[in-house]
Amino acid sequence: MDAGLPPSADTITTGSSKTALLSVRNLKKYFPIREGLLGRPGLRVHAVDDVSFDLQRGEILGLVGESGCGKSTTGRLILRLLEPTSGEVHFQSENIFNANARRMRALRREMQIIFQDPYASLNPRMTIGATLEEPLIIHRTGNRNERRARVRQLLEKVGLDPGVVNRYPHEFSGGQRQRIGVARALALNPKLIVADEPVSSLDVSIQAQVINLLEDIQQEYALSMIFIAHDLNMVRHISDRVAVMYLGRIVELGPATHLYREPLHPYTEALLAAIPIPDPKVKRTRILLEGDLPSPVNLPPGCRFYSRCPKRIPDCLKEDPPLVQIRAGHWAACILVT
Amino acid sequence: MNPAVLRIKNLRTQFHTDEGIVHAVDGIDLTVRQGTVLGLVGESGSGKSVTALSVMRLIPQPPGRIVSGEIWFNGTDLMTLKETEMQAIRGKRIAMIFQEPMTSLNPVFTVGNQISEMLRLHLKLSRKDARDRTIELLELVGIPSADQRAKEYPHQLSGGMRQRVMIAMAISCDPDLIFADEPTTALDVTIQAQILVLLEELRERLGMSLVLISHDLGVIAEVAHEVAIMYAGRIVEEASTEELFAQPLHPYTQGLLASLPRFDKTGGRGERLRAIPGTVPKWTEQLPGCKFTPRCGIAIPHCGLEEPPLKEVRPGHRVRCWVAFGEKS
Repeated sequence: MDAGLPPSADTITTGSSKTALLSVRNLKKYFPIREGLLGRPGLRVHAVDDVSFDLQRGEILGLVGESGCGKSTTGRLILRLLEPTSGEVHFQSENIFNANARRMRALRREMQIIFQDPYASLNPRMTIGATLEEPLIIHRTGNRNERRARVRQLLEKVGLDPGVVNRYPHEFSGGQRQRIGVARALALNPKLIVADEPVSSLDVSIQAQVINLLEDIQQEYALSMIFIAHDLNMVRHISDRVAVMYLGRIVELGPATHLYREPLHPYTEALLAAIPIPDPKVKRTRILLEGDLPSPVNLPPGCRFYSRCPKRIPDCLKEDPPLVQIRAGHWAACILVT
Repeated sequence: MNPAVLRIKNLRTQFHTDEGIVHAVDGIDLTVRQGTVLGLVGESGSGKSVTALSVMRLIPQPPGRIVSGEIWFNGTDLMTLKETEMQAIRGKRIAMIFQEPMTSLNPVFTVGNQISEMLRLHLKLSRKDARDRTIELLELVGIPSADQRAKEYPHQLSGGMRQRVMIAMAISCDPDLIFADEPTTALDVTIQAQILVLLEELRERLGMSLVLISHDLGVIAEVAHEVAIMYAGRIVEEASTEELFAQPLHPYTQGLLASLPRFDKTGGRGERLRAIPGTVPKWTEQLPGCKFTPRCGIAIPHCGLEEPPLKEVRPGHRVRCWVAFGEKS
């Protein structure tokens, strides 16, 4: 085990954390908030609050949860697009938060992101060719001709005609733009891709196209991927393992097949019961959660899910339950199952 | 069968743009029966929202224009009404719920104020009666401590609460028909479940009819009695919900259902999704023949030449597809 890892290092993993491509340990991100002009120092949004997991090489980990649960913030911390309040992210055994600017630039070649909104994440004034060539120039890859050839190769790889290099983003449909986003992420041959809601702004008939593309490139390059989404059906389809987040915490983590078939945490149960199924003959028992997500500023004592949990008991208020392994590789943070 | 509360005949709505005429709604017929939910399904640009706005006579003109059609609502053709007459129907007899409540609520008035205003305008209630009724309505849609919430501004409420306020406004005048345009799309799945249950309860209790516009076939399967599938400004298939999901006949409907991953079925890692190839035709493009032909896996030569009519092929099940009619070439 690496010297820099805290004692809990070998806990949240399927393989050994030595072989993991990415190890996230006790990651926290609190955003300070100010109220009014005078402000009230000390108030902070607990966006990510002690998150730990490992990602194996070639694995797709789905990160699910509702808005405000901290899944996107986690994704951005992993790529160090945000600085954490505390905690560590080890990429190939190196804590990326200790890397200096130069080292970070080298690391960024290996870790890329695909954003939700293909309309907002492409520069409207740059041609597709220039957009895809830019990372190659920044990382001083090849000469001009080699770069151009690489751009054409990338476009073919994502199913676009290489002849589109001189076109601008507005000339493409949403699905095509997301293909360009995938090509850009692939440009530097990364080992890790964080895909943050990559299909949720696309039409239903186009989503499947982009998901198939992501699976193809994942296979071909043995990529590791963190797939962040609120669509539980899509996450089930694409992920090896799934982590369910609630108010900044992972409340359940396990192999996709087990987690969907036998959810352990009452929140996961409620999430799954709330997914509308496109078949009127399937009759299910609805678990209606009361109320809304509590504010991540004033976290309630005890379990964070207490206020909405249909199975709560008084003991739930005693402490915020830790993530415990219930079955092989299947973890949950709920005193009712431990 | 329940009597029709709304009957749309051959509705055509167009928009004039720099790139040409957009045939947003291109000759649709629809019937909504009293006390039932009609699900209107389609992707962006299919014309489902424009259909609702046309019925409400809310198409901005220019650039839009209702070119033809009849919109029969409780025995009146709305197309023949003057704007002042339409105002007595809009919001009162036919109400609308939008996807993003934040953009349809006025940020500078309290939510109670906005509902009271509707009641005073449409029902001519006194200030006090309107206030009391507002609190009743907020309680009816499940907003806790309604008297306090009524004094809050839209930004102080969560997305789910704001959508409840929108629903309270929609039902405030006891309408006969509500158009709900993607009412839960902006909400989290657990909140979506709450709102869908609420809509269903209210509809039964108040005996309203509902047109539920959604791209989510799961939501449609749970709530709708009848379903109409739209593609490129047309209805391509229409049937009862059970029939449509059990026996989809149009290749577009079949493709949509097949492309959805289902957590409750096997699937999972390694299994490929059956995607519909290609993209939705550009709005200004006017293809001859069936609009779905370029993306269709079972098209025959006839499909690219002549547009099929919407024809009943099984009892209560209408489809717009030559292949479904049994043609071979």
